[in-house]
Amino acid sequence: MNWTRLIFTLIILLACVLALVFYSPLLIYLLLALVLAYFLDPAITWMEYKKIPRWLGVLILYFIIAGVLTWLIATYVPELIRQGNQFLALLSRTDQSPLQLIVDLPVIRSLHELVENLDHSVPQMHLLARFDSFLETAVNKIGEFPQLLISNYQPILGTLAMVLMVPIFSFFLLSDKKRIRRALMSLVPNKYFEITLILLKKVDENVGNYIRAILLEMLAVGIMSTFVLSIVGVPYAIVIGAIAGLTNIIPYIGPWLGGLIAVLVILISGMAPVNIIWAGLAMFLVQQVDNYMVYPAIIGKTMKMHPLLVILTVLAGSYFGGVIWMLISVPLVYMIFSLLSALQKNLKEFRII
Amino acid sequence: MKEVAMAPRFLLWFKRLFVSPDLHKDLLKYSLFKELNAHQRKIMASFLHEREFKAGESIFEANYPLEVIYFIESGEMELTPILAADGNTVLKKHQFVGVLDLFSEKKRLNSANARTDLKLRALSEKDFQELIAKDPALGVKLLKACCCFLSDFIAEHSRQNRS
Repeated sequence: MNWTRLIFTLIILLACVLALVFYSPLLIYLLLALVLAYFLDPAITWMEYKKIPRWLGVLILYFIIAGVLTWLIATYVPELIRQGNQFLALLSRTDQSPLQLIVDLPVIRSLHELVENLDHSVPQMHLLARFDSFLETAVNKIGEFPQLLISNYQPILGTLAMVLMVPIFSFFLLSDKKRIRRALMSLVPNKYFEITLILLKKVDENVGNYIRAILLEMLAVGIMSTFVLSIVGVPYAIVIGAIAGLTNIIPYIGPWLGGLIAVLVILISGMAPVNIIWAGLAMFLVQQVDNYMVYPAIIGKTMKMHPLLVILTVLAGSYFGGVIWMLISVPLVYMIFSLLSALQKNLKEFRII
Repeated sequence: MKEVAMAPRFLLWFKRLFVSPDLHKDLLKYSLFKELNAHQRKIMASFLHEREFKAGESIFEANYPLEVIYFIESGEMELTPILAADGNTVLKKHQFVGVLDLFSEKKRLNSANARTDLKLRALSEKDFQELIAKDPALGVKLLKACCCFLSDFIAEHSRQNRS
């Protein structure tokens, strides 16, 4: 046995484990940067073939995205600030207690009446007292929120800074994509070089296609939801549309979240209850168009997983790491599954097993 | 005077940011790449992986799936059974292997071993196809070079059969 080689391999493995532990807090941001890189890569590659260096292509694309975001912010944020100020002014009124303000909201008022009727019917359960106590606790928690923000400003700012690092990570991943790939491949022994190349290509294709398809689907659902909710007359249609597009990524559960938020907004804003039916129908229509036209056209057959496995994976993802893991667990499991099947096929073809 | 001299130097520096120097002239020595311009060579080089094999080491075996075209940078490679039409089993510097198999059954027709220490450049078959699809001008040049290579191979083979 070659002891020097064994010891060297062990040192390398140890260094890899230590690096993984050391950089583990950044892994989620690196993953997000990878998603962004996969989404932008076709445009950068297209520019590269037009003689634009990759680094310049990334910068051009970043400027375009920043321009679009600035336009969106300049157009919609003043209105959001105005409404936010109105809400704050309402809360800072001294003639009514915060609890009374909350109880005065149409949705809470109708709930309060319902509980009051129930309490009259079944007085032994003290439902009204319990409901009032629950509301008071909720108001206290809301009141504590600014204090919570102030006392945790350091971790919040730290997280915000890391989120801002995502485009920077993505810049390096995009501009040095081929160099990174070559460097990784140079570590692979000759015997496994071709098979690794096949697997890398498979991952690249699967993940790239899936991420681009899912982001395009999100965009399509977001635009369609905004459009139909605007027609129905639901306030904040753009914000709800954006949330509906974003949550649509969570299979089976996600599509209902956008509709639920629309219903809540209608209830809170005091619109006529009939609007709930219209908004529900509008979101149902969006889902039908998405399920039968957008999804098959954009995502097609990129992912074949049994619905039960998808639901179990989403639930396990949420248990394991919250919303982010809910979003990434399905493509991750699918990728590992397809990678293992490709590995088994190629290991046989290269007569390694 | 100094300011006047600075301007062209600045322009040159600015130009260099966008037009990188031709670092891949050596690719012209391969018949497959001899028609490529500097930009196309730069793109091609970004897809090439450098590999080193020790003398006697197996590079690939017959009936393996075809995934890579190998370009010999230095050293000698021995093929079994015979690949070249002239009966030569040894490939040397600036020759390549895998192009013939690319147009057949996507399986290796031969086995290859390093006869001496070998330095190779490897181009993935999928990257090769992608290059052809994404840059038609580059694709035409590569396919033209492939046709020339195949026609030379067939001509040599016919000549050998006649004699």
